[in-house]
Amino acid sequence: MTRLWSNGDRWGIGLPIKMNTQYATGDDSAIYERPSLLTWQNQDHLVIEITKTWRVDIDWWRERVWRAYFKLQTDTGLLVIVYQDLLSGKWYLQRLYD
Amino acid sequence: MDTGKKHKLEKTISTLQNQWGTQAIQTLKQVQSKSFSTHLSTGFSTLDEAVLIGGLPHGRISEIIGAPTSGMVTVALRILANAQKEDKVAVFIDPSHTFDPDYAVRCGTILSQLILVRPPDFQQALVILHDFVLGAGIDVIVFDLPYQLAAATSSAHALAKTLDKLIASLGKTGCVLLFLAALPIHPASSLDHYPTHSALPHYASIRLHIQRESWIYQEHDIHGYLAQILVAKNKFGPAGRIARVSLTFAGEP
Amino acid sequence: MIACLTVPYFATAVERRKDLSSVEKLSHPGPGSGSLPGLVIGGQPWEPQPLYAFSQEVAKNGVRPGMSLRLAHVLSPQAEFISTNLPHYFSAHGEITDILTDFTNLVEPQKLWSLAEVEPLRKAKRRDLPAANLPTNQPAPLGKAFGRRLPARYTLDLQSLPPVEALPLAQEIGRSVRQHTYLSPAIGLATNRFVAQMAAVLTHPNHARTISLEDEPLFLSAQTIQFLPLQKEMDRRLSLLGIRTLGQFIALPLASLHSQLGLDRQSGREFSQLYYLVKERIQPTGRIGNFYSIHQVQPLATEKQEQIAYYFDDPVNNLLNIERILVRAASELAARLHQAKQETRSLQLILEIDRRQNDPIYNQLSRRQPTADPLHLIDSLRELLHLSWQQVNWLYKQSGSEPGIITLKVILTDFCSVAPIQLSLFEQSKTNAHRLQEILSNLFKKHGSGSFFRPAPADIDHPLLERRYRLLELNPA
Repeated sequence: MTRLWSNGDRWGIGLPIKMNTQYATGDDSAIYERPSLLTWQNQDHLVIEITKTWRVDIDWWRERVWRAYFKLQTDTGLLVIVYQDLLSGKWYLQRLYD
Repeated sequence: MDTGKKHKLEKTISTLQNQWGTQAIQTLKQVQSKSFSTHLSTGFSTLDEAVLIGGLPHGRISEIIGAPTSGMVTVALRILANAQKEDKVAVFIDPSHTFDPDYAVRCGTILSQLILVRPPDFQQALVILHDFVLGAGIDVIVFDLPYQLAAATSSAHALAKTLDKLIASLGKTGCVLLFLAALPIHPASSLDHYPTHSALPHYASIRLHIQRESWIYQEHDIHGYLAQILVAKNKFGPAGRIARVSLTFAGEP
Repeated sequence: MIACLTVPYFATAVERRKDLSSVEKLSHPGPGSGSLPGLVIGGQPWEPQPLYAFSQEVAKNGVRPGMSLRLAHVLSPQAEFISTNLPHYFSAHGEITDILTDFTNLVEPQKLWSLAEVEPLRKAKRRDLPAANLPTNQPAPLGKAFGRRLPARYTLDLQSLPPVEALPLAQEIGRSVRQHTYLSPAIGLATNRFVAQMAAVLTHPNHARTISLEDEPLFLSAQTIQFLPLQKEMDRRLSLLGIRTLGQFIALPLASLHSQLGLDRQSGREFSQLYYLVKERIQPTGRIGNFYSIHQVQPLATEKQEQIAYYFDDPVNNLLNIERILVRAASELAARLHQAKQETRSLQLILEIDRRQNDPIYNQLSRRQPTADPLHLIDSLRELLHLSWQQVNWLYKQSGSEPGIITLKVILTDFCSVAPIQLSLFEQSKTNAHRLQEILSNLFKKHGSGSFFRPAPADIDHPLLERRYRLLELNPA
């Protein structure tokens, strides 16, 4: 399983984390913000591979949810899914594979 | 045994006990559970072989130790799913509130037969655990023990006390109690990082240490991993055997 | 604890109870009422037969059980002599038993001695008969000293009740007996039957005495050997040896006692048990183990009954309707049994038919296993009904009219208490949903329902992971 952080009000929104990012050119030669170092449990985890990215943009007619998801592997051996809330720019840890 | 006969027998026994005390007559089952344990298959044949008794013992404490992203929880969920195939009632005690139903279903657990406990604090979690064990009727209990809790002195003490009380009742009710003991996050975490003053290693009959060996890639995405499970302690046979299992994320997003 | 309740000089106490006016009833004819003339029951002084019972005043003059009426008259000329009224004593005996069964079903009333048991004593004039201990049909042989006050004796098993709680209960039992029967019981409490009975004998009426485990050695060693079921010859020899108390008695080796007294097998075994009981109490060696009682208190078969009756204004002649009524009756009775924690073994169905000249149709069924389950009751009642219905039809066929029931009565008797399920004898059935519900509801009570969830799918293909499943809070309902 994974561990899923869903603490929160109605729908859990994940665990807020500190994320350092860098900009990189995507396949479509546009520039995207990419996670590079996440801080969780007072420990730095360097991102060594992003294996999958995807975006979700739903419910724009009432309560827009616009997120950029990243499934990534860190140097500390974690495989996690994090996302950036593109409306607020905050980062959240959502899933830890375990 | 049909109910009539059973009833009659219980009656006879209670009369005898009335006369000679409760210790005078005991059923074979009680004696048996002391001498050997029946087991719950883990669903991984290599692991079943490695622990020699064919799975996790009933009425005993088992422990899976693993760092985050080692596959520990996946193995536990598969065990739950396997137990539910036999119509058993499972409880998942989740003090860190991180149970992922989506992934649990992908691992094969039947949610309608699962009781998820999210206690407000660790103390309460232990009390609830105790009540579930005492209550009988529950076949498998998984207790997720985050590293922070296992490492804190106060909660380690509370856990030790509870375990001490549990041992006797477990033997009677025959439920499988599985602890998931997380190791701290470390690139090369090993059993050396296990919280030093935890009482679990002492009480557990079987301790399994799970480590990730390699990723399974599908195109560029990680699709699962291979893990090795070391039998670190085994009261039913020699320890030190290793089982290799492959864990895939079964079509996750 | 074992409690022994005795009513000393039972028969005379019952006789006197009759004479007392309602005002005086509450002031018991205890040891203080010395002004009363003695009372001897059994017949007139000139009749050539032994007495049946006597009162305390007469006992002071030296009258002993088994004496002839003539001798009693010589010893106590002022005493009043009346004839025996056995049914009267037996009914009083039953009254007390009824009261005691309100407290526990582990009551063992000792049967009252009858005339026949007194008779052969005198006729045979055999000196080697068990010395004048009156009731011979008791489970354990009792010494002469037990019968000296001609008591009615009841032994109650208070089970694991500690002495501190047993005494108030015993006092309550005594109070209750006194209030309802106007008799004065003496109660002895001890950890075993033998000592409890001794304590009761040595206690004044309207008093209770506890002999705790620690006091037993001291208490026992000072008592007379007359409490043991000694035969006359043995009694004589022991007294020649100067052995008067139990303390002295157990100092003798058992083997030599056996050979000296020439006991047969059965009485020898009982005697040995008693010997060891006494010995172990006075000089604990730990070797004999727990000799708590020689004979357990046997639970009394209660004669309580539960009944339910339906009276119909118009005669009912539809079998289906009657069956429906029976189903209702069964569930009602099952509820009552459940509440009383009883199970029934015997069911009676009584149908009264609308013609007066016929006796009610009565059928009874004894179940092999006691039950309190409404389904079992219904099955049994159906069986009874079909049996009765055949009889009803047969009756009506003869008279050529339509059958009709005006009264339907169901009586349950032969109760036994529900077997306590103290340990899980067998593996729990696999998904014991009911049991699980019970555990959960207990947990809810303890921890509140906020901690228990059941994950349930909400929208399993939702792009947001957290919206695919919901956690439903489990609630007691």
